[in-house]
Amino acid sequence: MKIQQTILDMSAFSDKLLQSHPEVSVYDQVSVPEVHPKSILVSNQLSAQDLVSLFVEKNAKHWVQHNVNWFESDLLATGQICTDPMSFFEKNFQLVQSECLGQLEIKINDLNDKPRMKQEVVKFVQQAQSQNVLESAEAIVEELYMNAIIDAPREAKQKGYASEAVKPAELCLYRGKDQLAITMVDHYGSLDCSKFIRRMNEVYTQGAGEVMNRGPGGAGLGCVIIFENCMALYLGVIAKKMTKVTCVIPVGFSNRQRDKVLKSLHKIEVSGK
Amino acid sequence: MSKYQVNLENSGGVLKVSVSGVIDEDIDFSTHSIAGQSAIEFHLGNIKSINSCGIREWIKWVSTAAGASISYHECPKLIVDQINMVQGFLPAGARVLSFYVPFYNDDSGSEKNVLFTLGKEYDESGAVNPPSQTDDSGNEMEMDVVEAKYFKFLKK
Repeated sequence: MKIQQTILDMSAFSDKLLQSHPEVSVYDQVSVPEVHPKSILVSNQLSAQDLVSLFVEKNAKHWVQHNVNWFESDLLATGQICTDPMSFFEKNFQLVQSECLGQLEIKINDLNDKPRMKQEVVKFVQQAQSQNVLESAEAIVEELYMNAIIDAPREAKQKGYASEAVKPAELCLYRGKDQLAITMVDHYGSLDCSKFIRRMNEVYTQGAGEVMNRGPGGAGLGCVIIFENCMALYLGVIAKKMTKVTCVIPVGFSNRQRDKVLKSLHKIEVSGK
Repeated sequence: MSKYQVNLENSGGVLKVSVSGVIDEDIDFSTHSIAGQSAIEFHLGNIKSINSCGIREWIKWVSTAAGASISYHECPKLIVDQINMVQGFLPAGARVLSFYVPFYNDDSGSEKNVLFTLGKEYDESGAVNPPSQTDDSGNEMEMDVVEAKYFKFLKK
C-alpha cells in the first residue's frame, strides 16, 4: 500500500502491510485529492454521524478508522477488497482475523423461517456470554433479515428483474476471539449501496423520528440500527446477482468500552456482467 | 403461539397496558384501542425485541392516545435506546417512571440490569443517583452506560 501523508502515524505498521497491494493508496480525508476505487480513507476520531456524512461528501468506497486492536488487519482486508473486489463475495472471505471459535450458517427460504433463524442465532451468540453482544446481534439480524427477505425481492421486482424464485438467502455468523461477524447474502443483487448510505445520513442529520417512513414498506431506520450496533459495516453488491452485507461486532467489551470503538464503513459494487 | 401479547386493563380511571414479546413487522396494534383515555400506563418490562417496523407501529399506535397522560414503566435498555434515538417513541409530555440500567464488573465480566425508579434513583430534573450494586460474588459493579447518551431522555 502507498501510505500517503495522513494525520495518523503509520510508521509503525508492518512491512507486510506496506508491501501488500501496492496499487492501493491510503489517505486521510484532508489530504485525499480524489477518491478512486483503490483509495482507503482513514481517521481516528470520527463519530458515526460524522463518518457517514463525510463518506457521502467524499463519495468514498472504504473508510477505516483506527482501533488499535484491529487497524492493521482491517487495512489488509480492505486492501484485498480494493485489489480484487470479487474476493469479498467468496464464501470463505473472512473479515474476522482471529481464530474461529464458532460458525453458524442458516438458509432462509421465506418468512416462515424467521422464528427458527432467530432461535439458532440466539443459541449461537449466547456462547459469547455477553448481553450487549446478544442484543446487537439480534437487532442486526432483524434488519438484515427484512432487507434480504422483504426489501430485496421487492426492489428487484421494481427494477424489472428476478420475478422468479431465486436461491435462498444465507445468514452466516463467525465468532473470533474478540469479534463476531454477521453476514447476510441474498441472490437478488438489488441493494443500492449509495442510497443506503445516503439514507443513513438523512436519519443521522435530520432525526429518525422526522424522516421515518410512515407509509407502506420499510420504516427506513434499519440502516442506522445496523450501523449503531456494529463497528464495521460492509455493503457489497454484484448487480442483479448477489447482495452481501457483513456487520462486525466487538466481543468481550462492556457497553462503555464499546462506545469508544470507532466505526468503519465500506461500499463494494461490482457490475453484474 | 403469538410472538407478542398486549393486555389492557382499566383500573381506577387509568388504562394499564402491558406489552410483551417481539414487536416487529407482524405486530398489529389496531385491535387494541387506546384512544379516548385520560391516563395510560405502558408496562414494557417483558418486551424482548423491537425492529424498525415495530418502532414505526409503536409510534403510530401511541399517537392514537393523543390527549392522554402517558407514562412508561420498567423500560428495558432496548426501549430506552429507542426513546433516545427516535423522536416520538416517547410522546411529547409523556414520562418514564422506571427503566433498567445495565451494570457491569470489569474484572469478572458479570452483568446485571437494575431498575431505576423516578423519585429514587433519579428525579424530575434528570439528576441520577445510582445505587451501589454488587454481583453474586460480592464484587462491586458500575453503571455500564455512557451517561450523557443513556440518560439523555431524562433531560428533555
